[in-house]
Amino acid sequence: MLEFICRRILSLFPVILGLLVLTYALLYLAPSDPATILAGENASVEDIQAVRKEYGLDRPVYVQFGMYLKQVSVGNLGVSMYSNRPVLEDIAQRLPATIELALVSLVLMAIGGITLGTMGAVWHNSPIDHVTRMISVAGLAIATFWLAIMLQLVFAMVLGWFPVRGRIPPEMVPPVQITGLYLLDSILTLNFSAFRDAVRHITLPAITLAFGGLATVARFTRSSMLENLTKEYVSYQHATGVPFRRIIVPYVLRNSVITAVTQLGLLFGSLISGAVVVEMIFDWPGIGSYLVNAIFTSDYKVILAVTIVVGVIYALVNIIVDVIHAMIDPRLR
Amino acid sequence: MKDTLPLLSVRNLQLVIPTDEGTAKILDRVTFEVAEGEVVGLVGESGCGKSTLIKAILGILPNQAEIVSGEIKFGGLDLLGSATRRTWHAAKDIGFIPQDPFTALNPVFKVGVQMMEILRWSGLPGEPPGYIGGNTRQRHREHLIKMLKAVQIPDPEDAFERYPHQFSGGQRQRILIASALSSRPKLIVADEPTTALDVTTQREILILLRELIEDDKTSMLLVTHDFGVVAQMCDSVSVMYAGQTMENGTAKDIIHTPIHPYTKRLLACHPELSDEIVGIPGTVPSPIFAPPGCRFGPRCTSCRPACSEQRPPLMKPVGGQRDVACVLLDQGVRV
Repeated sequence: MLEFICRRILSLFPVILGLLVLTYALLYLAPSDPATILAGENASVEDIQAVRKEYGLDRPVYVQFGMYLKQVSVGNLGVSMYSNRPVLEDIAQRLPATIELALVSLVLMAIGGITLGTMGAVWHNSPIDHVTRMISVAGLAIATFWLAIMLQLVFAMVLGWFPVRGRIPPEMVPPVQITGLYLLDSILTLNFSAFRDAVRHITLPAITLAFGGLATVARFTRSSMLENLTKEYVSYQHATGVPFRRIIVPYVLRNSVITAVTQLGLLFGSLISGAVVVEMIFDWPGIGSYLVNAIFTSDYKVILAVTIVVGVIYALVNIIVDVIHAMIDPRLR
Repeated sequence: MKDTLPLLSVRNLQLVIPTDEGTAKILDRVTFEVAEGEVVGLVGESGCGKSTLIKAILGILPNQAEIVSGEIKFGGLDLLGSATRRTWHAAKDIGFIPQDPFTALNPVFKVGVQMMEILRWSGLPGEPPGYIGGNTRQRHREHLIKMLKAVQIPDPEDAFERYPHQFSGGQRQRILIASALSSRPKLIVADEPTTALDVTTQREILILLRELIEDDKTSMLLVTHDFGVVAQMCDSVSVMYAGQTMENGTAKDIIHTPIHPYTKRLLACHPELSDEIVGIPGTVPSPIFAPPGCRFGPRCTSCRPACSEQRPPLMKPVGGQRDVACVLLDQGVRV
């Protein structure tokens, strides 16, 4: 198992290199010129030239890329061309917010999707199944931004159950940073009022982000469970007197969540990219809104850095998924 | 058969399953008995309703199945009384060995876990099923490891912690046999337990099974389509064709002096039991479009016009120890 994990981690490096090359090439080919933007609106041609020289933008692209690689390899993601702050520092500050949002959504997706899928399969073709199928179709069909605005409208503005935006109330001091995840930090520091506020703030964005994935997980769990219910081991256990509910949980369920776990791993990537929209709408101070700002300002150091970080997280999550897979299914070990 | 009350008795069981194309008459007045300590072979071609019959005995019939008439009694208990739900009593006292050891075990759970689950819901003698308090788990574990040893699984302690794919087919069938016998049932229902295995393994498994049930005087209903297995294992035989009981009797009588034309033709398919090998032309009729009267009629060389009108009842020949349902037997006592 350890060897398996090490091998997977080593395989990360070519992935990251490929990611860097691709992103760099895309940025280079994009029509916007960072030097022009940096120099400001009223800059003369000479000013722009000067900026270009200062940032090394006049050198051949492979030299620029080589310099960048050298920096990255020692953990230096560069300085934002827009705010002049070190990119790594900004990311370190904002990443926990996105991770927290993605993790809560992942949990909602896993629990909600697997529960709905299981119910749909156990009560196959009953009203319960129809409702779960309707939720799945809705989850795939409804656009994230529309759902976000509707949730804000109904639950935040009309009913007032949840705040419209933000991560904690503006007047409140964030809990002492341990992990950077407010939910975890507030519990670790026994700050329960902060915990309650953090839960209230994360609820709507997390539901928005989770809904589409939840539908996918529910569909995969349902069809996989329906298939597993026809398996010989189910009728064997039934024939030996094991009650039906025991056959479902854990025996059939464990076989059925194998596909759902794969889906969860793939969906985590879409959670991070989906966070871009959700973070903008809910004013969530995460890496998604940071990336959007960087794109608007052609801050290519930031764009590259965020791409690397998201790529690494995605690859790591998929290693974790493989490990969980091997834990669930002994045949893969 | 014997004079004492049989352990399992199936009488005139008639079972239908409605389908889109019409009502499938799966079982038509099936009748046979299993006495205490007896091994009964249930013989017939594929598609003759053997599997449905097993499901009825184990109480796991599909919901659509309808019992039209007849009864299944097990030790005085009416197994059809509690609808399709199997009673706790039956779970404890009827062990089940499935046909295919490769698919019967859940691939993602340890063998021990699965054996424990089955023993939990049947319980050791004197234990209420489903109960896992006190040191029950420990006791079950020790008992099951002993059972694995009894079915000659090497290193049973270690086997308990392994997964099904780490065992061969023969070993898996041994594990399933250990599981079926673990609650010390009075009856074992074995559904073609060796069909999925290769010939050498088949013999070993059958010998082992025979030894194990002889030790405990356990009865067994052995479903098979192989008269070779019957000759090796069974005291009595019940021959079924297309959901109808054709002939019941002791294994010796049936194999050496079959009366029913179907039994004769079936025996003729076996090289070791017959001088020349002859197949039976035709196929088993679909239970939806089954011919009226004797269902073997269309394939029978002795078929008479009366056969296709009304099915001959099961009769005991005068002085005979068997039941036969055939017009060839004109003298006898109705069962």
